[in-house]
Parts: sequence; structure tokens; C-alpha cells
Amino acid sequence: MKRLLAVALGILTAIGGFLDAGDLVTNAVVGSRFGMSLAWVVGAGVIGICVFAHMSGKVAAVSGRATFEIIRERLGPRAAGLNLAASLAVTVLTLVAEVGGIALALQLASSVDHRLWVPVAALAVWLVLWRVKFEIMENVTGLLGLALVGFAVAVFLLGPDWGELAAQLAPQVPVEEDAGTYWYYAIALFGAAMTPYEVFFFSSGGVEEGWTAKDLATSRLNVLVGFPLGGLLSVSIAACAALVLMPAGIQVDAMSQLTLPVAQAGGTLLVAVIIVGIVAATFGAALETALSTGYSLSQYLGWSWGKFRRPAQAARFHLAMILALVVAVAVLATNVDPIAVTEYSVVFSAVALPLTYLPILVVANDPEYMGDQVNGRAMNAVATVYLVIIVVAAVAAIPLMIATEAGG
Amino acid sequence: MRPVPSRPRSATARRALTAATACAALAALTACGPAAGRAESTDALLSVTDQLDAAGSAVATARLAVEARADGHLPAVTADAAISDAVETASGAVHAIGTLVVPDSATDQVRRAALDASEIAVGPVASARTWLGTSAADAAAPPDLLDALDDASTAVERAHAAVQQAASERAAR
Repeated sequence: MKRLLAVALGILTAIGGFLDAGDLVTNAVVGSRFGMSLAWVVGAGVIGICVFAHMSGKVAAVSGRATFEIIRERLGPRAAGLNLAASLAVTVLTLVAEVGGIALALQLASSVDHRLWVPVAALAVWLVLWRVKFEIMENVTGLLGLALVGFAVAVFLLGPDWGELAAQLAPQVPVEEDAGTYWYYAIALFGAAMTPYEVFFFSSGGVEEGWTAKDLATSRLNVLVGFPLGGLLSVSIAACAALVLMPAGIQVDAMSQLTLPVAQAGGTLLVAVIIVGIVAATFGAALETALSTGYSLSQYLGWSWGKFRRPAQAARFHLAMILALVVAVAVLATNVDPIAVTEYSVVFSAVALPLTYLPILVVANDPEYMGDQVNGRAMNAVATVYLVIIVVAAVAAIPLMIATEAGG
Repeated sequence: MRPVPSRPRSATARRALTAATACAALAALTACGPAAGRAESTDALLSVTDQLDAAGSAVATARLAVEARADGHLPAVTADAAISDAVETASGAVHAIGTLVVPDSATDQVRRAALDASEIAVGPVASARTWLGTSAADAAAPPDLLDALDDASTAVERAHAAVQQAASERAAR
């Protein structure tokens, strides 16, 4: 019974923790401009993240070491350094977006300008990182993030014509948009679903929680059930935007617009639930990205790391996270639009994807680390297909960003 | 048979090639001038339509927020955040259209008309925020505010259609 509860908790936190500012904003923007015609990209992204998160979790469980440590050992400091530079830059950019996202969500609940909330949000993130245990931190934010199920409830309460909504699922470029913009947002959605920090957090989290090969089944369940259900929440955000904002001619450029379809569907109570969900999702993602910054730097440089150690025993790990938070506050203090940062962060995530995922695939096939748990043929085939897609997306991202003026 | 000296022939060919290249470059430059002008003009008009889209979106956001608030479906603080963002978007559109540099007077005329329409949009959106701040915000939305938002929306749509027509005419030329 206890085991079952642990599995259920893991799945629920995986669902609640799946969404971050990038998913929230990109899905709403895409829903308001393209309807449901890009929902297939969320499906593709969810399968991809399931494959690579499972792989990195398996590496952690079997070897008892985090992915980045092994990547450095297996591929050498140069190749791992390239991986570190790319993933660290994108993770810090994502952290900026997440801290901005918390501030925007708190503005929705208070009407106090988000710029005033930024230092408060960063301080709260640091306090939790400093004081709260890993499991409590992960479970609380994950469970509160489940409040985003409110978007799925809103879709049902809006009473759409299901046939018409389903017809929108066919991949097609709307008349008023061009193909370049369509593919630019496809890459953004893909990048949002497969952000690099997720796999590093997943494998390092496995080490924090002391996974062994016995925990592989639980880890697989968390990923294979939790992430797809989290993906459904992403699609329901796009559906809300497609049902209410698109017909009204509203293009999403602010977090506040996400509440309008929910208000129409379920009133103030559902709006309040959604705001709790947005705060939890962005807060949880801010914790994960800050931790990922500390994890990747410490694992590359051989520093002592982990929440299971006291801050004094992992001083440089904690210092790295504090510095990342200071950078996030400094960037947001320039009055940059957090939504724009979020939009750019998901596209740059797509650019950094090959550098993140190729080394994981290499390590997962090395019997020296994995023993008899190396990837099977089927897993390698799917991962290789995804690597090709990832490379294509990474190569096309920047030219499409320039050609479409960032989807303008 | 006496071999034809290759050097003079090659020199002639080179001279001919240089002359042809120069002519082609001159022709290309001559052609590129008006083409670049057309592209600039069309690009400027497309930027104007993007900004009008943003202004229209801000008006629609404000209307939806006012209706939701008046129906008691949206908390006052959240409605305020939504309308505040809409005001920022609408003002941003006015600023963007107002500071856009256009290549010719015909395009400038279209830009000015669009600027007027986007300026019209800002007023009702800002008024919506004022209404929200009053105690009457719990009651039904005032019809004059909704009418003003509808008028603003119509003005933006008309300007949008005019700019699009001008852009397609330029592109066809």
C-alpha cells in the first residue's frame, strides 16, 4: 500500500511538475494564433522527453551517479564543456523566465506590478533551496501544480463543439499565418516540451533520492504516465486559447490573458485555482532550473553537490545557485518583458537540444556504466529518430527566428 | 595548320566578360533600386498591420475582461492586471506606428491613418481600467464603455483593412 502511494505521488508530481512558464506561454500563444493545429508537436515533444528522461533516470539509478558526471568522464572535458556551456546558458535563461513567471503570476493575484515581485520571488526560491528538503520541495510544488488541471476543466465547461475542435488537430497552416511562422512555433513548442534542464534535474534528482536499479520500474511509471498527462494539460491550455481568445482576435502577449477563458468557463473560483497552479508551476520550475544550474556546474567541475548535503558541505553548489538567481533578478531588473524572455528561452532550448541529448544516448549505451541495463534496440531506434528531429529543429531554429522576426 | 595564339583571344574574351559583368551589375543595381524601395514600403506596411493586430488584440482583451468582471467571473485584481497589460500593448502599438520610418509620402499617409486608429484604441482601454477602479465595477458593465470599445475595435479593423490593401497593391506593382 505504501509503495502504491509512493508511485501515485510520483506520478501526480510528474504531472503537476511537467508544466513551466515556457509551456504555459507558448501553448497559449500557439492556441490563440494556430488553434489546435500544432497540438501534434506537444505529442512529439512528450514522447521525446519521456525517452530521454527515462534514459537519464536509468543512468542515475544503475550507476548511482548523475548524468553530467558520467558525461565528463566518458566524453572528456572538452565535449562535456560544450554540453555544459550550451545547457547552462539555456538553463539560466529559463530561470530568468521562471522567476519572471512567478512575478507575473503573483501580479495576477495582487495587481501589484510584477517588477516589484521579482526580488521577492527570487528570495523565496533561494529560501526554499536553502532550507527545504528535496522531496518536500518536489512533492509540494508538483502537487500544487496539479491545480493547472483547471485548464482541462475549463475546456469542458466551455462546452466546445468537440468535432470542430478535433478537426483543428490536423496539422495545417491557418490562412492568416505563413508556413515559416507555423514551423517557428512548432520548434518553440518542441523546445518547451524538451527543455534540457528537465533531464539533468531528473537524473540528479534520482541521485538525491538514492534510486537504485530496483527503482527503475517506479521511475519508468512516473515518466510514462506522468509526463503524457502533463502534456494533456499543455494541450488544454492551447484549447482554452483556441476556444475563447482566437475567435475574439486576441493574440497572447501577457500571462493575464490566460485567465480570460478560465474566467468565462468557471468564474472566480476556477481563476483562483489556476493562479495557484501557475505560481506553483513557475515556482517549481524556478527551483528545478536553479538546482540544474548548480548540478551541472558542480558535476562538471567535481564539486560536492546535492540537497542531501548541508549547504556548508556543498558550498560551491549553493553559491552557483545563488549566483544564477542574482543573474535572473539582474536581467529582469532591466525591465525586459518576461514573456519575451520565455519565448526566446524555448527557442534557444531547441538550439541546445543536440548537445544535451546526444551524450545521454552515448552514456546509456556504455556497458561500463550501465552493465546489462544498456539501451535495447527499440529504445535506441526511437532515440536516434528523435536525435535526427532534434538536429533538424536546432539547425532551423535561428534562421526561422530571423526570417519570421521571432514569430512576429 | 598554324596554331591560333591563345593569349590574345583569351584577353578579348576576358574583356568581353568584364564588360558583360559590369553591364549586368549596373542593370542589377538599377533594378534593385525600385525593388528595394517597394520591399521597404511593403515591409513598413506589414509592420503597421502587426501593430494594428496588437492594438485590436488589446481592445478585445479589455472587452473580455470588462465583461468577465461585470459578470462576477473575474477577480478585480486579475481583471486589473489584464487591462493594465492591454493598456501597455495598445500604447506600445501607438508608439511603434508613430515612430516607424517609412520610405515615401504615400506610405506615410497610410501610416498616419493607422496611427489615428491605434490612438483611438488606447482611450477606451484606459477607460476600462478607470471603470474597474470605481466602486460601480461590481455592477453591470456600462454600455457606453462597451460601445467605445466596439467603436475602437471597428476603427482598428478598418485601418487594418486599408493598410493590408495598400500593402497588397505595393506588392503587386
